[in-house]
Amino acid sequence: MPNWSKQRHRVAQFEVASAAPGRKPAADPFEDRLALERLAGWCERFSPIVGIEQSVGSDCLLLDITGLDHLFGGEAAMAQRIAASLKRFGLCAKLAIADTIGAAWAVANTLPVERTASGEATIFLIVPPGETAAALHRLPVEALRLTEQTVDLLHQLGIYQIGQLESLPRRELSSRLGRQLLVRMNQAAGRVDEPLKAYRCLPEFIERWSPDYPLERRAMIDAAFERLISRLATSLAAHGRGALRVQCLADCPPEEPIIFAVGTFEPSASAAHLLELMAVQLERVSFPAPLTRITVEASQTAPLEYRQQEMFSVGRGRQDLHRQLAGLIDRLSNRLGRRRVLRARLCNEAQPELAFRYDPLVGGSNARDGRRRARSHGQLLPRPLCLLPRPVVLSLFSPPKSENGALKKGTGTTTEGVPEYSRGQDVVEPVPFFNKPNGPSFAFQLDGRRYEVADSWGPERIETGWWRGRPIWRDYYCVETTAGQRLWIFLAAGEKRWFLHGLFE
Amino acid sequence: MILYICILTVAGERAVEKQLENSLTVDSLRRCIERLEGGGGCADDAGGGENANGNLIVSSGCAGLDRLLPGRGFRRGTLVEWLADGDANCRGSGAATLAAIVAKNACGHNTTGEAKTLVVVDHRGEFYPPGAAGLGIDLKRLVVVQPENKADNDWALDQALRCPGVGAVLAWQRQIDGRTFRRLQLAAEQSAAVGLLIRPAAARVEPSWADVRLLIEPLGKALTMGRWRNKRRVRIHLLRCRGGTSGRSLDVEIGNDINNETHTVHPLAELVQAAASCRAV
Repeated sequence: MPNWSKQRHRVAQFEVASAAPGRKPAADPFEDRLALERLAGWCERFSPIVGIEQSVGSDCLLLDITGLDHLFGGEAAMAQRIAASLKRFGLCAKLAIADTIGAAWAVANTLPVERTASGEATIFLIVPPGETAAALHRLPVEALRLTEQTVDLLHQLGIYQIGQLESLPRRELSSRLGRQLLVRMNQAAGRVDEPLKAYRCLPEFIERWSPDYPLERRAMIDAAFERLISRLATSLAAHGRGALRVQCLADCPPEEPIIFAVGTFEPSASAAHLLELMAVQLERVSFPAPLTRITVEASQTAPLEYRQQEMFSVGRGRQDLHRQLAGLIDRLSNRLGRRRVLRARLCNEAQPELAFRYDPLVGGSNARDGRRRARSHGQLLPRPLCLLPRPVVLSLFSPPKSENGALKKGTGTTTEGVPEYSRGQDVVEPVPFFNKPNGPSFAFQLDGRRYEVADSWGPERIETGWWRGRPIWRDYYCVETTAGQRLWIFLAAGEKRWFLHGLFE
Repeated sequence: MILYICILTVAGERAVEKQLENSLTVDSLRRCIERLEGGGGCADDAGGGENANGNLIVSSGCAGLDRLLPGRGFRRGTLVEWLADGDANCRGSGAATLAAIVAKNACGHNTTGEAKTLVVVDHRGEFYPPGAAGLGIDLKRLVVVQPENKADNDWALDQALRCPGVGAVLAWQRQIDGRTFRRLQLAAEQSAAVGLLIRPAAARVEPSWADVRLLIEPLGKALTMGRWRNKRRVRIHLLRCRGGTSGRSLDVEIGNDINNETHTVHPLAELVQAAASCRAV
């Protein structure tokens, strides 16, 4: 039996990325955090204390492996086993084992990416005990988890490596570059203790039940969930907290356990409300085998918000309406998916499709509090109520031309007085109609129907987006057809084509 | 089958005045009956009021249109159909703009009091929030739902209409079967929300559970020419109105003012007896 107290403190740290090349989905901080939490939970098979480091740069997992490596055959064998397990998930990692959190973070974040034929591979480096200072000596100052401003300042002073920093007098470093730099240096070198904050010490609100006999009948499964949720709600209410996310895990050996979760718009400790949301999920789940154990956990909680009762409220009070609305959002989000129940925010972007953004109401970021209120260009100029997700190319009918090629005006009309047009191509020269309010109109085809422009307002030139690599140069016009319909079309300067983008419905 | 065609002609101003007077008398008597019965939702003033049941009247934003409606506005807890004349996709007719103005009034986004939430059920994914903000809708009180299929769409609409915290629900509905329509109507009654359904004109032949069915016909070139502060004209046909007189129409001009608070709808002609003919079989 090893003597744990005399063992050196050892920390394993790794950052994870997708192993396959080209798999780079759009970033979603909420989903990223959930994925990292799932991975952290999975890593508890290697260490009981797993932390998530989100201070600077990429998100990392920290494992306290003090006194645990011998269970896996040594530190190198343990690192190899973690790497092999991650590879099965299609992930690659940069892994480092060192005496301190700071040193492990520094080494892992400065490891080069190893590319193989099948993509990126997991690499690891072990700093032997007692050699932390030597390992840090040649690492760049960025490895100290410093802010960008501090790193820039150090670079301006010609300091690029941690070894250079260590040779400078400490007192002047603190006064000139801030106390945080000294703290990070001491933490990395092990001169100051840095606690590893577990992402969950122990689940605070968790209810488990293992029935004597495996549950097979649906009614019994539902009753078991109801009982567990009721107990969880009671526990939450007793602590003055509400669940923002409840995760359920149903063990059904020999199959993989079934995991599903419900989210709430506001913290809730109401058993009826949580059960209602859970019922929506249970309807969609089919259990492949009888259940041997059910676990219900409030994985994300927040303090309950107490509001004073209204004594003289007529009919439904404000609190009641607010609660009803939160319930509606929860029901919609849990059935349709959180990405389909949205709040809209205006953005300071001139490009119409980027002038707003949708955020999920449940589980979204709470950045609204500290964010400067954006004033969209849409508040300054008229904007349609409907915008097509992708602009539609207008197939134009060119105005009739005379024999010498000039545009005919007032001629070429049918017996009904409607100008005749010849079917044109998608790519046409800009029609000079918009410079003349009462000039000749043009016609276009959309969804097999012919539209003739009777009047127009514009142009509103939008020239933006060069910094995104796709410069936008559009001249927008609000046009009214002869039938009175109002459309928002634009002429793309580079393509010389007309697009329908919005509808004043 | 014998077809009788009865053509009503407007004799002149005096006839119109007399007709208006009669309709006002009928409206007044109807309100008295409703008040005695303790039901319905009528108000004495054009801007909206409160009846014995606590139901409010929502102004359409246009005094002329309010006068066409019993109770001088849309009753809360009912459905309103906005049929967009034009092509099958109801494109660019102005129906959604008028409905959005009603939604704003129903949610109280233009008042200083406690505002309710507007739910937009947008299965097409074309709703443009900056356009709604331009109409004066408070985006902080807006929930956009994007259902994936028709079943989810109908369910979301039902749930939103059933919620007392919702002031109005705006949705683009191409087809609604009778049973779903009835369920939506009952849901709206339960919560006192106003359901604003934008539908193609082809739906006018279908049975309806909506209290009011309006056909929006764009009228072509605007009277007022301007650079950006343009206005558009539409003709509103009152096809169906529970407790009111259908078959009337009104020309209105929608002020596309960029100032949120002054977005207005002005009647052009006070009362146009467009449906001058009726037939009975």
